[in-house]
Amino acid sequence: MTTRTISEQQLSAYFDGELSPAERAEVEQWLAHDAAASAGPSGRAVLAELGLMRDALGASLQAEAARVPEARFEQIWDEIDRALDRDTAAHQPAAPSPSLWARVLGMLRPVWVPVAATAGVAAVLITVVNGGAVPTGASATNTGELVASKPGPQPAVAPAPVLVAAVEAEPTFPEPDMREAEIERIEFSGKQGRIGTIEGKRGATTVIWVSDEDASGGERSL
Amino acid sequence: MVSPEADDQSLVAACRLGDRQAFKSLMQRYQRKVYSVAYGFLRNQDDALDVVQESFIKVHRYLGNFEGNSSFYTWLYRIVTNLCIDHIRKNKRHRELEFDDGLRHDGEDGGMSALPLSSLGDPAQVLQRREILDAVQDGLQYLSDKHRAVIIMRELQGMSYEEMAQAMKCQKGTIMSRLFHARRNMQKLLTERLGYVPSSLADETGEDRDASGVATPQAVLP
Amino acid sequence: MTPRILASAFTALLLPATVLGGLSLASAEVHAEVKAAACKVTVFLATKDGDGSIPAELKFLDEQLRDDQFAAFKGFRLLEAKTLKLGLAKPSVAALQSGFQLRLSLLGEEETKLKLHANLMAPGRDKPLVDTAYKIDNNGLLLVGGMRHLDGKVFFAIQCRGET
Repeated sequence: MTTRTISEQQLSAYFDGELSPAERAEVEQWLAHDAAASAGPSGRAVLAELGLMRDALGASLQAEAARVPEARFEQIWDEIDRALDRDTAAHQPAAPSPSLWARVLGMLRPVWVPVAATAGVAAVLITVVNGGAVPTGASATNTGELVASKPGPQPAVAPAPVLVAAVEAEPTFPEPDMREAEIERIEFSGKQGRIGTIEGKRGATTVIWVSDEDASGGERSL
Repeated sequence: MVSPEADDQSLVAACRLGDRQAFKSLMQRYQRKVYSVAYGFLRNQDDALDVVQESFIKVHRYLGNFEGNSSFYTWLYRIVTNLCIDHIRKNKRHRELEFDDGLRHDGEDGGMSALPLSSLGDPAQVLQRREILDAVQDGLQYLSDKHRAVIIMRELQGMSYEEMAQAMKCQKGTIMSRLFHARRNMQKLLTERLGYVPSSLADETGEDRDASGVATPQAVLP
Repeated sequence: MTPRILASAFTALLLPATVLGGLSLASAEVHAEVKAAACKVTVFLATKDGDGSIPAELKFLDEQLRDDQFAAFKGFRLLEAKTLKLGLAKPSVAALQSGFQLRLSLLGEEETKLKLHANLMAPGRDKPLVDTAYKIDNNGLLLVGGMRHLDGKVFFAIQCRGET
């Protein structure tokens, strides 16, 4: 009968199923003998408590979620719909068109695009997609959306015809996403530079400040 | 048209074809769960709802990136977790103090041998009691951001130590230790809140149950 | 696999149906990756003099330009706007009228973020002013700048989105 020391941390990891098979066997062996060996709550009781705490957390947060009225989620859906409409509009040229078919035929022209594994050229297949939802009012999205689909694996085949929509001269960009950049590596040319963050209502933007040779007066430091 | 009761995979497939209604059905399936997770992290209804909105928009934008290697909700949860961690990081800057470790158990509290929840009786009943669930919420409130993060990720989202390590950009060992300490802190908080005295001690001294001044019981684990 | 899918796409488009299926070629087995990106580079000048207004072309930077960090500047004007196309391991260089050169490369992507490399050279200098590898959300915005130029300081707003 072994009384190997099982640390509480090991027991916690055992509870999560994160021990190696060998360690797990050790803990299980200890659990089998521990009830008799020690005063106070047994290892099994501790495990039961951890389970109860997990359940309590789930129940507690579920109760919190139940507090949010359905109407509030509906509100969010309106926002999401608007954002998704903006997303799809960004892929589309602005000109309105009389009919779905006119738009389809006008947009699609067969173009030969060499598809090679190493050139890094993305074959873009753009198809016209009907929104599929019941039209609500004057919503433009239900008359058709241009959705760029992802290309398949880079095929090592001879050039294949790819249906490509007339590529716009200038790709359009939607409103930028305000999220900080994660700088993994940075070098300034010997002079000091610094990384700042602008925090606004819509998010955060990273700013890399490059300083000149001369000290510039009036520049705020972070 | 895909039925709203279809499984995740079918709904995802329909979403990829541009079916906005399928997208909504899929997301509505998860909206309160996502809210629970976000509320667990952020402790604020408005922030949590923001995360629900942002994560769903992100899902729609990047559905093409979802490779189907994991389940859909695992992928969704990863997006939600990253958004929550971003939120916390952003808000940390506004705080004057770094609540990095928050409440620290002092090692004198008998470790995990305190069983605040188990001592309350029938688990099924315990999980229904409002004051228990409130106590759990309060406990979450007092944990440090890092401790709360691992508890939510593990207990609510079922993330593995490896997945958590990736989300928090640290070693797996750090996660193991962090989670252990987070659980101990939770137990300490619940013990204080629910007025528990370890039964072994109460028997010994014959004292009335008292929330304060709990003496150190013997360490359970040899 | 690709030719078959393209064939069915072609067929689908010929069907006189009101619901046309868009095609996703990203099946469960395919590792779909961002292989190209388009970047909008906006070069603008910030000056001490001015009335504090932000011109229409720079309205998308409204929140940033009104922040404390730009408080010293009262005038803003667009110098140049360019779109660069990047491929994996295919950097793109914007030789700007200002004499600066901005080289952007797409290093890859991670989840919903793009991994990019930016290298900014000043006219007449050997070493880059700044060389950085960073991760940013798709459509995220990075600002680089603060160098003396003309009657103020020049900045580069870099917004990249992955192309699929």
